[in-house]
Order: sequence, then structure tokens, then C-alpha cells
Amino acid sequence: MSSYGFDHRCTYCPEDNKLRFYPDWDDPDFDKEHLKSVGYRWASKQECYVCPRWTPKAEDAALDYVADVGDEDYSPEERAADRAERFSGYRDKRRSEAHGHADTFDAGPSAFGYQSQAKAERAASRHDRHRVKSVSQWSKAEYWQRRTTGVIENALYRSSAKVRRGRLVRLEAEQRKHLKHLEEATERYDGWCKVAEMDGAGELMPLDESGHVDRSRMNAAHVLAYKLANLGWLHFWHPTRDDLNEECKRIHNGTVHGFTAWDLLTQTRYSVTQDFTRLTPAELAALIVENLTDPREEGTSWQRWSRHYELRTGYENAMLANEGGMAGDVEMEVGGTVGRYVIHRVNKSRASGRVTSVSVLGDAYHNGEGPAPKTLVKLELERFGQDVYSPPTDESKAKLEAEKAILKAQDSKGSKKPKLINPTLEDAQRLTALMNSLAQAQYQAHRGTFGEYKPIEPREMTQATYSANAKGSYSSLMTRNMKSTGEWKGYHDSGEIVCKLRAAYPGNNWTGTPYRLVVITDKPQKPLPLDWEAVEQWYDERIAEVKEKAAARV
Amino acid sequence: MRESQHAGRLRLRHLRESTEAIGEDMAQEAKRFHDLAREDRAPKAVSAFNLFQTPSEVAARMVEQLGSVDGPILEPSAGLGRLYRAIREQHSNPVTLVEVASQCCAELYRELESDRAATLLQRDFLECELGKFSGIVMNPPFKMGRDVKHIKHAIEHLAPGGKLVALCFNGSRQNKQLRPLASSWEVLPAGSFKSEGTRVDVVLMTYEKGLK
Repeated sequence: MSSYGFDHRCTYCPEDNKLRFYPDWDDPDFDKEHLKSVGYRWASKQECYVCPRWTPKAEDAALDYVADVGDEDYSPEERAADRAERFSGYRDKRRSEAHGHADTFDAGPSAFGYQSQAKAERAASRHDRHRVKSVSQWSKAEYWQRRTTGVIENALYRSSAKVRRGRLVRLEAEQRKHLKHLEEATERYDGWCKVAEMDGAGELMPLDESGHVDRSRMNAAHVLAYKLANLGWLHFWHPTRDDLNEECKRIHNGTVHGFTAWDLLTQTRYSVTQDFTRLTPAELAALIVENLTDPREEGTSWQRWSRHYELRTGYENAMLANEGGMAGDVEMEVGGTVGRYVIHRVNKSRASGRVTSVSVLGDAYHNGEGPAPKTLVKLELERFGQDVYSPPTDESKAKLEAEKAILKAQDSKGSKKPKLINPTLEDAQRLTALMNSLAQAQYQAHRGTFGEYKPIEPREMTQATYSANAKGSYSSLMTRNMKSTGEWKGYHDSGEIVCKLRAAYPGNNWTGTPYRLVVITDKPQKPLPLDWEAVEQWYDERIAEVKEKAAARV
Repeated sequence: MRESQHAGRLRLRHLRESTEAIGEDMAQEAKRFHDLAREDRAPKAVSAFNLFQTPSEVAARMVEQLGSVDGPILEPSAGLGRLYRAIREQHSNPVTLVEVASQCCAELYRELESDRAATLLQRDFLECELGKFSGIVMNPPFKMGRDVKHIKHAIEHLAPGGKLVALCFNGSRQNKQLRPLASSWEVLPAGSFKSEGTRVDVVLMTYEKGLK
């Protein structure tokens, strides 16, 4: 398909990450469908095919026609200016048409009189078309005015340094993700290479009577192959059973690309009528190694993506160096200032090591009564330049101390924060029993006789287990506030908070199930600071209330 | 690329300035189109018995033939006021318009609202006694010889020394009854009323009181 004799041209623009292909229409071998199949689209105003995002496939498709991909000389800003000029041309045309029609309408009479009513109506209607047309054209002129403004503002915004900073942060995140995936792919490839050479890889995966994998009889090659087969979505056609391949294509109508590695290792039947010929780990490894390339090999898609990310981040960094750099790259200190705010804490990204935000004194969320209490709020710095930061001065340090004093005074004046308590197992069980009784009543009130409530129990674990599983926003372990009524603090209720307890998701299928109490076994335990009589009375009242409401509903 | 970016930014800033200026102009102009968008701005369709309005060129010629007038002017069978508009282009004298069709009167009333020297009467002209006028300009209904009756009735309203300019059908009855009275009798070219949907033969006649 090579057409190097013709004047095709392909460019890459690092600003918008687009590939542009300027075809030479004299080339009889040029196949636009070939470009379209990898994402290129014809841009009539630019008179070229544009691929909205660089990919190795898109680049390869262009390289079928050109020797190399050049640099784009025409910037997105100039393209936007062209576009804005084009739109303003549309606007001016519509505007003058609107005025022309309006002038014609105004020059005519306000009434058309004839002996015949039909004729009068026809004449009035004919003249009214000028009015309708002028209003319509004016509406279009306003539309193109909005579009012109939009194009200009959008282009100026996108060419600002803050957008480049945001883009760089996103690019670096994508690059890290890519490198992580590359590492995993390399491990998988090495793993399959290792499986091919392991002893026992020539034996089929052991299965039990019901057809499931029998882990007790697995050898080392089976264990590794089974683990690798569960990673990634590798699809291969069966090397010896063409009938199965045809059947698979027929059933899925071309939407799948073969059997998964796991299928090839463990399946005994394909459908009700057809059996499945399994592969040994060695056969599967040979198939995979034959079909895949080493991700470390130069020229693979993996390496091209790595190179692409390096070039893009390099380009963005070079451009940013002339546009004020990134605030995150500056070594910030507590006591320094960002604008008019004094820094109380510097927050860095664990991934990039860059400063992402600083904590400064600000207003806390409150109910609007009286002055807002002060708290530390985060100022995101990802889109700021280096000049936003000023090192600490005597004045800023004094301000920092003053602000700290405000926070301290506020803390001592306000209600004390509840203490974290590790309850005794007896207390935890007693409270859980009460929670279960209320939840049981609520379950019956809501769901009647459908299913039954599964009671919860306190969870016992060591501090190490708790710490390991309580990290992150989506962990199943957390600390929650406990009210004097023996109920967890919710979002919308009020009540005196007496302590903070470790809690776990109930792991139940009913949403009304309360959180489970967690008891740390290797730490000192304390009785819960609850008035048990009052707590039992509160639960009894709630249960009676729930039952009463349920009865009233029936 | 850097030069192109710089040039692009300059162009965009310049365009922003011009677009903002045009936006301000358009905000001023928008009122006109918002007003035009109102449904009540649509032109009205009016029909009345034997309503064939005087074409603007003929109306201008009639007022020209009327010449200078000292006193009030009468326009019987005013229709939608084409003759009135032609009169107002040359005369500021008081004008009395008579029209029997209510739809026409409604339109005329809207137009005459700002003219304090104009009087509109919704009546059958043949039954009116309006006093004397220095000038009369008229395009009466032609059907069944009504133009003869109207013109004769109008002549009665002419003050001594006054002048009447009228259109009438070029028929045998008109030639017999009106031509002897006329100071001038000019047959208009065929198709003069084509724009009004009729190819009737029309005569532009004048009558000056005191000369005959």
C-alpha cells in the first residue's frame, strides 16, 4: 500500500494530540476507508483527514502512505481564529439579511385591502414572509454571534497555562497507569515463558468429579498457569478444534475473538452437545508466546505508547517552563503564603511527589447562624504557576501563629471531640443485640414475610488487621460516632455524641442493617460510656413505634 | 509552532474585541426584531365592497393635479388611506376622510391617531352632508354606476373656486353624465390598476367650481 511517490503529507500536533493526513488525490491506491477504519475523519474546512487522538494504529495507517510523520506548523489557536472568522462571516450575512427583510417589511403597509378577502389574505401573508424571515435570520445571527464568542473564549482558555498544567497532571497520571500496565504485561509474558519450561506443564489441569479445578492435585506449573489464565483478557482460537471455533463464531456472531486462556485450560464442555478439548499448560503457554510479543521489545505498541507519553510530557514541561512553571514543583514551607493565604500544611501527591494542595485557614461549613467557624481548607494548586507561592516572612509567620491561636481557642471553646473507644466484647454484644432487635422490627415492617432478617455480630480482629483494611475511601472498616441513645450517628439526625467506635460494613443484603461494632483484641478494652437503662428504654420505644406504624399501614 | 500560537492568540484577542463591539450593537438592534416577532405585527387582511385601492403613482398624480388648496380637503371612500398619504406628502390642510367599511376604518383610525388635522367619519358618503371643501380627491366605487353618484354628490360639497380630482370608470354612462361636467378628462393607460387586481379602464377627471 506504500505510496511514497505521491505528495501525501501527515503531521502530528502535540498541542491537541491530533494526527492530520493531507492526501494527494492523484494517488490511485489511496484508500480513505483504510484511514477511516482507525479513526480518521474528513475535516472539510481543514481539507485533511483528522484523527482525534494519536494511537499507534492511526500512525501506522498514515505511515502506509508517507515516509514519516512531520510536525504540524499551524497552531490550534490559529485554527480557532479561522473558525471564529468563518462564524463571524455567517453572523454578518444573517444580520444583514435580517435587516434587509425587516426594512422591506417596514416599507410595506400594515394592512392589505382588496375586494376579495382571499386575495387580501394572500397579499398580507406574502408580505408577512419578510417579517418572519427577518426574525428567523436575526435568530441565526444571534446564534452565530454566540458560537463566535464561544470559539474565541474556548480557544483562549485552552491556550492558557493553567489548562496546560491540568493537561500535564492528567498526562502524567496516564503515563503512570500505562507503565503499571506495561509492568503487569511483562510479568504475564515472563510467567507464560516460565510455564512453558516448567516440569509437569505437559499434564492437563486436574479436575474433580463436578468438573471444577482440583487445587489439591495441582503441580507448580498448574498453579502458575491457573493464576496467569485469570489475569488479562487474552483470547485465542482453539489450535486443533476448528469445529469449536466455527461454532463459537456462529453463536456470538463475530463479537468474540476466541476462547479465553482460562477456557482453554479448564473447560470440558463447550455446549450441551459439544465437548471441549482442553490444552495442557505447556500447549497453552506455547500458543500464547507464539501469538504475543514481548512488551519490552522495541517497536511494540507498549513501547510506542511509552515513547509517546515521554514526548508529550517533555513537550508540555518545555512549554510550561516559559509559561510560569507549576506551583507544585516549588518546595513549599509551612508559613509561606499562597496569594493572601498563609500555609498551615503542605499536601503532596504520593505518586508524583509534587505539591497538590495547601491547607489554609478558611470558613467551615455551618448553618448560617452567626459567624462561620474557622477550619483548615484545601487550596488546590495543580493549575497555578510558580509565582503563586511566596516563602515565609516574619509577617507571614506571625499571621500563621495568630491563625493557629484562633483554631486552638475555637477547639477549646467548642464541644470536645469524641474519644475513640475500644469496647469490651460483652458491651459490644449487648449493644449489637439491641440493634438487631430494632433492625428485626424494621425489617418486618418494611418487607413483611419476605425473607428474614439476618442478625449481625460484633467483629473481633487485631489492630494490625484493622489498620491494613481501614485505608482508603472505600474500605469496609471505619470509625463512626455513637450517640448516647446507643445508635450510630446518622447524617440527618441530631443527638449527643458520646464516643467514637470502630465499625464495619454489615455485609448483609438488607440496606437497613446497622453497622457492626469492631472489637480490637490486642488492645485495652473499656466499657461503653452508655446509660444502659436509658438505651434499652430508647430501643423499646423505637421498636414499639415501628410496630405501631406498620400496623397502621396494614 | 510557537510563532503560530502567538499569532493565533493575537488574532483571537483582536477578534474578541470586534465580536464584543458587534455584540453590543446587536443588543441595541435586538429590540427591533423582538418587536417584529410579535404576532400582532403581522399585516392585516382587509376586504370591503368594491375595494380597489389607488396605486401610489396614480395617487401622487391626483394630488399633483389638485394643486394648491387653501381650505379643507375631503376624501370620500378613503379605503385604507392611500390618497390620504399622498395628500399628506404635499398638504398640511385639514382632511376629512369618509369610509363606510368598519375594517378599513379600524386601520385608518390607527394611522390617523397622531394626525390632529384629520377627521375620520364612518358613514355612507351618499348620505352625508359635510359642508364645503376647497379640494376633493376621490376614488369612488365603480360598480353599477356608483362612481357617477359619488362624484355628483361630491361636487355638491365643493366650495366656490374649489377643485375636485376623481377617478371613474371609462364607461358610456360616465362619458354621458360626467364628461360634460369635467374640466379635464384623461383616460389612464390600460393596466393602471393591475397591481390592485383589475384591468378596468379608468379616467382621471377634474372639476373646478366656478369655471363652469
